[in-house]
Amino acid sequence: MTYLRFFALCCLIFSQAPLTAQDSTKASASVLAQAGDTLADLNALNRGILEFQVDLGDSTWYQMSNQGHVILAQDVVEGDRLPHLEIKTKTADNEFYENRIRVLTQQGTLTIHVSSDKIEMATGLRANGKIGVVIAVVFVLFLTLIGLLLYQQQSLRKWEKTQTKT
Amino acid sequence: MHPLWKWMAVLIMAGVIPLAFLGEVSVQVILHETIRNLYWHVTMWFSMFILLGGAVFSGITYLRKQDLDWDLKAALLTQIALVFGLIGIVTGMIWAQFTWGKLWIKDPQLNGAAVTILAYLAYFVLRNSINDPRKKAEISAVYGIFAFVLMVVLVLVLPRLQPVDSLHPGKGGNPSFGKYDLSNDMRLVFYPAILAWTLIGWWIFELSLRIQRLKNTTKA
Amino acid sequence: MKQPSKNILWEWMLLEWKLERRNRTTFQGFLLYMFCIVLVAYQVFGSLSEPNTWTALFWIIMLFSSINAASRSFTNENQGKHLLIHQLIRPGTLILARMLYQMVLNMVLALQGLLLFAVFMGLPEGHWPSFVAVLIAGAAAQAALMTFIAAMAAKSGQGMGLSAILGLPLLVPSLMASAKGSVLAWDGHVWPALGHAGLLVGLCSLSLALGYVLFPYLWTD
Repeated sequence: MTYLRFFALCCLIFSQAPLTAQDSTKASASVLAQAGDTLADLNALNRGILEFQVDLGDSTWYQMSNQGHVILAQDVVEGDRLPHLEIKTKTADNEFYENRIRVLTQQGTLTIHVSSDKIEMATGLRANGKIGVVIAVVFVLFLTLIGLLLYQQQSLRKWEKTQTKT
Repeated sequence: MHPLWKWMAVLIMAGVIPLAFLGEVSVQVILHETIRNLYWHVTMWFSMFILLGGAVFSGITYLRKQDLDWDLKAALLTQIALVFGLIGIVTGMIWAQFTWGKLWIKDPQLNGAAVTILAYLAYFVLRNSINDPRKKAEISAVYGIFAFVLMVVLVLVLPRLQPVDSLHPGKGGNPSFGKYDLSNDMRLVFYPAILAWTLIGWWIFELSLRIQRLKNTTKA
Repeated sequence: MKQPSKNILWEWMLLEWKLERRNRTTFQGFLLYMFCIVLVAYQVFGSLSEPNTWTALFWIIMLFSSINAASRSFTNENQGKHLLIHQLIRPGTLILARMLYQMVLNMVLALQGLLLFAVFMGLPEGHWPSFVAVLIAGAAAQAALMTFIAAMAAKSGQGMGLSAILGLPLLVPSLMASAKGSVLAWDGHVWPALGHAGLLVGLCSLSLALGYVLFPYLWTD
């Protein structure tokens, strides 16, 4: 009985997995670059990036040149904290891609991890109402859990009554 | 008929479930829609720590009063907290698969979580290895307190001190929860969800406590 | 009622040392144990200079040596001896004395390990004084933790096997801090490395305090 309850709890939690599934085109790469190096790999990774935005306080769109773009180390390193850069890109197919660049400093060397995801929010799922099914399933699982708890509580009450009589 | 707090937990969850899927979320790089996992995965860990806090309190009370009932409470709370922790790990792994592309990565927070689970599995190994109930209660209460303090150091303190490359918020170069991770809409769902899960954990605890007490009286 | 004083603490540590001297094989056993593992590791790895691998290997060997050394600190006590100790010294003082003694012993073991590593594997390039600081602090933290865990394991009557199961997860925080601090020291980051040594000292005093508070409950029989 106890294990059944836990199982129901598990089901409830796991049922959110379908929603987290994104049909994303993933690519990632690690580049070891010196301070001031170009990020040509960003281009290679995401064929057809036209413009991009770097989260350095300003929000201007930079034109992507064939050579990639230069990010200077002093722009991104604040003290000894490891900076976390976000880059938004526009591509030829007018789809938005998001890239994250993580810059780690190790004695003047920058390790730059570039990964790119095609954004696919679950708006479709929400628009055609299928999200309702997901919510309903989770609700049923949750109510099953509560039902099990209530059932157990009732039978416990009976048991305790017989116990106090004897 | 039933105490109010049980209905409260159910009502909160009834609100949390639709809002978790439909509510506004802050758009984050990499995370996107998966940020909704916050309501399930992170709440598990928060509830686990609250329940473990209860277990430590029971352990301390046992040592002060030498009443075996408090030992039972500590053991059951730890057990339920462990289940919450395991669910937290599995949901975290699912989340990691969709955001970082791997089920398990080298991350101080993740390894801290794994070690916490191991430490509490060891708690049950310890309990099972002793037959004398008094001795069992004493040693496991002491171990529980000791382990809890060290786990707090491991999971909550160490990852924040080290400038390592952690992917969890608030560590390494990542923005913390406070900065812009959570919009106010999300907080409105997140904090009640923690409360509701903790209450449901407490409910399960209360029932298992009553079952165990009945079993003990029928045995005696 | 006996008051815990510095003197009793000191005398008890001396007594532990005398007991250990009388039974010479144990102490030499620990030294030999470490020597053997380092030699075995040398056969497998050969000479090492890459700091990450070096540090990982070193701390794993330290981990097993300190588990081995600490787990016997409560095992050879029969009923009579237990009763005698109970009359002589307060439990809080006893655990402090044993932890401190074990810390000194573990520091000796750590320095021996460093020496052996220097002879066989060679040392990585880096700032070695700060590594020694991390080493001393890490060895102390490990010893304090393991002594307390050994007390619990011995009390449960299951002995060494249980103390390894209980000890390994709980040693992870100190092990992580030591490994991280060592790598920082070899990389030449002196202050961050010393910061980690400070963290380890904090962890060590935390376990001393917890031991002092909690041990009396274990000791009552």
